[in-house]
Amino acid sequence: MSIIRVEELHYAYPPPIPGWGEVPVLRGVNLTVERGEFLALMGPTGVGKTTLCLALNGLVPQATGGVIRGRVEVLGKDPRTVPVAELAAEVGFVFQDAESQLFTSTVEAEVAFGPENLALPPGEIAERVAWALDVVGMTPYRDRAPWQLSGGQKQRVAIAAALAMLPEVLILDEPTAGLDPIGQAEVLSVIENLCRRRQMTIVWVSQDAEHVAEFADRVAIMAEGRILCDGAPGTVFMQKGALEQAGLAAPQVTQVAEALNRRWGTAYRFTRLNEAESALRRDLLAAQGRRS
Amino acid sequence: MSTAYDLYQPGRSWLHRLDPRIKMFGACLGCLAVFFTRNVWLILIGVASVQAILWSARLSRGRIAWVWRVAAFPMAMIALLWVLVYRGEGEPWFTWWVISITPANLAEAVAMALRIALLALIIFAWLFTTDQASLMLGLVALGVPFSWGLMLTMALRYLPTMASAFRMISEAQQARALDLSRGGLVRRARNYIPITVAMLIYALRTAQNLAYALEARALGARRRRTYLRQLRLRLVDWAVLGMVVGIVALFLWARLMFGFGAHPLWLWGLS
Amino acid sequence: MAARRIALRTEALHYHYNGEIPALNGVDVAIAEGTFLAIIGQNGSGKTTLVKHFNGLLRPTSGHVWVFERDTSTATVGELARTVGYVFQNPDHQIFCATTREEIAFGLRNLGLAPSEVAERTQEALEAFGLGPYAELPPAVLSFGLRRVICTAAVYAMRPQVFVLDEPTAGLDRRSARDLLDRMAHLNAQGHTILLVTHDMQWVAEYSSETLVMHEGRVLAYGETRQIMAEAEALARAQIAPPQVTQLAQRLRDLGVRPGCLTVGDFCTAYGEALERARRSGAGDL
Repeated sequence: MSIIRVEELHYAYPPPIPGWGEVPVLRGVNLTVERGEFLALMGPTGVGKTTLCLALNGLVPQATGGVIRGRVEVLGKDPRTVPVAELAAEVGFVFQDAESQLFTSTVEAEVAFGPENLALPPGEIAERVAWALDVVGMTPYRDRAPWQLSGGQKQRVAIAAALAMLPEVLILDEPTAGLDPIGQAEVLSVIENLCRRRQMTIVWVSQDAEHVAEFADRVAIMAEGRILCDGAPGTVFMQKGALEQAGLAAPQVTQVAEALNRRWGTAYRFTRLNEAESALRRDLLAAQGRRS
Repeated sequence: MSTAYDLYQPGRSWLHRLDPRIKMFGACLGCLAVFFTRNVWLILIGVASVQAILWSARLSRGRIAWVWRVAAFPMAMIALLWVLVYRGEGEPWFTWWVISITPANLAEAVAMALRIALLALIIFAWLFTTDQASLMLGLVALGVPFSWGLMLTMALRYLPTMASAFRMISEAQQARALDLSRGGLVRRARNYIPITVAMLIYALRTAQNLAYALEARALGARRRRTYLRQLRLRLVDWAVLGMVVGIVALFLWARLMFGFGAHPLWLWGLS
Repeated sequence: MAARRIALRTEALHYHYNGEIPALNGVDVAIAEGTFLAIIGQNGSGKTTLVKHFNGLLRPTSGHVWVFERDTSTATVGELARTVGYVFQNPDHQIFCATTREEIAFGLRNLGLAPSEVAERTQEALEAFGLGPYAELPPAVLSFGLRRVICTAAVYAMRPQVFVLDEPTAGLDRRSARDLLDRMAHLNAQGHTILLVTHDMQWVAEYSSETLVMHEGRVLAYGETRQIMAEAEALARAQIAPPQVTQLAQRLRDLGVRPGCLTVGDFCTAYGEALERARRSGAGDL
């Protein structure tokens, strides 16, 4: 069953300054996401990735205004008409900027905020907070203030805050942008946990082809307000033309495979470091193996 | 760095654990009582008691010293103005032009200055030991709408963020050769325009992101919301409440009936 | 190679935030003019603190900093801004003008240049960074990528000899990031010194000639990028993951692949060599 269904979606932001024209961003997006799927959304900046994500939880157009055309359906509901706060219980959203999504004074208060808004009984809120903090590994930091946390920890709290509402879909808009490698690794391991162990439906915006190849089941590449191509990382990252059109680079190991195939006529296909290592190791050993 | 802006000082002392409603009510009563006395001895006793309370709550000396530093300037101003403007009763110790200093008006100037310190100590004893979540719970329990409480706690939460943004912005403009220290008053004020405008744009952007994030976390999904932490008055809360109300009521009764503490220098003097 | 002038130098540089929290614990570096230097390390390792000393935004708690032989303690931030241009991480920390053109002209006016020269240099910067179409638009409503380019162009127009870029690629897609770095490489080829503070090791490998690894307020390693990338232990200690091809070469080291590969091309060459050697040694035994 498709959890997310987007058909011919067009959207233009209202004029940024009175008297200007509208700013078209989405120009006919078609996308479906199945239950339990882990979709990565890639594309250059300003191409509409964030806008598409916001259209999935209703902030576009409910909070942003503007003109929307086409069809969006999330969990059988129309995010254009269901109030954003209502849909929030089913569609969790983690924003890029950690600072503006942690608005309370402690980690615990932050994670409890959503369930409190849903008017759940205190006992259940406590259970959910404990569970969500455990999932992201932030239980020891329960009483900390946001400013006492590192960038990666802030994003983990933001993820926990979304999880505590037990959403069916989790949307993450570049949650690792601007984090140092340790922070990125922290957030990525949480995401991995969510997809591999908990089978959540995830839409993840990322700029990092290597991370996408490592974690996502499926990649959709956006360019000029549309989905340019869509499929398993192993397939999409081999489509050089599409990547180039979207200004993206395949993971370095995929580029290595292409270069080697060109030079040696081999038929390597890898998107992950481990795959590359084992394939090349096998062939180097085979070359040496002639000795015996 | 941000610690300077975060009023709450984490701890587990009796004062930290006291019900936020009692703390807020107590602080209000305390402030009210302070306005009813000009007596230097009573105010000194007040200062000493609140200091003792702060110590018992294991607040760091640095934080307590910070309160005094904050209060120092208004204290000095008030004391100075009081001595200059008011003529006290009794024999002057010192007279010059329109200024004459008597023991009573000196005592009153000191009392007025210490009153500022006492008010500050009472209010900060409350804010230092109440985290923002409890603060909001307390306000909501006393009938303040949730959205107001949320606004207040968010303002406190984003104070350090905005302060650090302000620092970054002024650094960024200085790195573009903006000289903040040059020129006369008007020129200097003008120099701050790039910083102010950039700050404004930055604040608007943050506010918008914040509004999105709040909605995405189901703010306003139900007409009533629940709370993870429940406030419950314990015996000790009632006891503290009783004590504070008792002391303040006793004082006000003595003050209104017998003029206790109305005179700057004498405890039982008439005024 | 002719001895190059030293552009930036520090000696026993210590810096403590608010006079107490140590951020730099004795940094001694000398950066030659014309270097494309990457500065890497964890958050809180002192990267930004170090580079802020080069334009006087921070003053040493103890120790010295020289910019082209001038002790920075004798110069104001405004004076140093002529020599050292600093592009901040977040473009929204500097944008405030009604038009992009104004935004770029702001720094030039602060330098006290004649109006004709301000206009000329502004135009030149607009063209060099492809900002012509946005010249009369308010920068605050443009996209994040464009805002960052505008900030870079604003610094470029001031024609500093040294450019400091703090995380210039964060939040940019690969193509925009590459465009920006290509422009920096172009300036570098003209003799400008570039300091690139970043977490993105692919860019480090591709663009920087030298790399400085910061760790806990000290210099952990400093040298040619190729050399640094081969120092797996130092990088691991600073919790830095080298680019995928560098890791791949490292992992295949035992089979004769030369470590220290920086780019895809590099790796393919190294792999080809290893493969040839393997075949030859295999064939030699026949």
